[in-house]
Amino acid sequence: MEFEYIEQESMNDALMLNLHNLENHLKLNYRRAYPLDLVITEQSLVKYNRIFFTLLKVKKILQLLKECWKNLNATEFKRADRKYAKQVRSMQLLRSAMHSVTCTFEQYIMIDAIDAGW
Amino acid sequence: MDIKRAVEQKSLNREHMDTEVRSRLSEIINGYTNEQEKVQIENEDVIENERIHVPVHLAINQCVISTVKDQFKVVNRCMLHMMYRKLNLLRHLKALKVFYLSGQGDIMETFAQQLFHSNQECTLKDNSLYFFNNCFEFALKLLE
Repeated sequence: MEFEYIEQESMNDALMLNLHNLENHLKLNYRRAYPLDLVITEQSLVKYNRIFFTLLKVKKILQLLKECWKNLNATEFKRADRKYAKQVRSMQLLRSAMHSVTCTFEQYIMIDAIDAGW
Repeated sequence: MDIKRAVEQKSLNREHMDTEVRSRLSEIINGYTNEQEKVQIENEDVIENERIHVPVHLAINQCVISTVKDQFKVVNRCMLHMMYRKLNLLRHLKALKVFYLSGQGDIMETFAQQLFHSNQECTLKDNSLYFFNNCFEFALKLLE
């Protein structure tokens, strides 16, 4: 099991790879012997890849929100002037709302969609 | 003369009654009437005449479908044995669940932490494939 490049039409497309568009350039390949590839087909692996990269996106958002929480709890924000306090508070609330939405979405995917269907 | 005729009629009526009683008794004992018996015999004659013409769907069912079904049963058993015992299909499917569907959350968590580290550059160039594979292998070490 390893990552491979998806075949691109031009080399420029491959060079456009960054952490925010992984699914367009990479695929997680699962090596399997002859009779197994009749059951675990290439088509099903493409679908699994889509699910994998969607889950990775969700993880990435949660990771970034964690970093945001770290930054918002930094001393610069706590020692900010009172006139900026309202803005800081609204940022914290926005981060919290985004975090709760993403967490709920992740829980829905993991528990209701994947675990229930397995 | 009238008396003689009356006696003859009485005897005829008795005979008629006797035949009726006998026929009813035979119905009760055998379970079917003489007429039904006649119809059955006629039907058997018809079947005997038509025995040469077999319906096509019955012939196909007997000659093709039943043999194919037998073959299917044998092949099905062999396939199940091969998939479950020899190739360990269930293990492969579990592996797919663990890696693709993040069945074990800590692997995906570690992989995401490695990838989306705050100091990580957003644009990746030359050896990015090795970087991804290294991150993934690092996450897989959790399994051992």
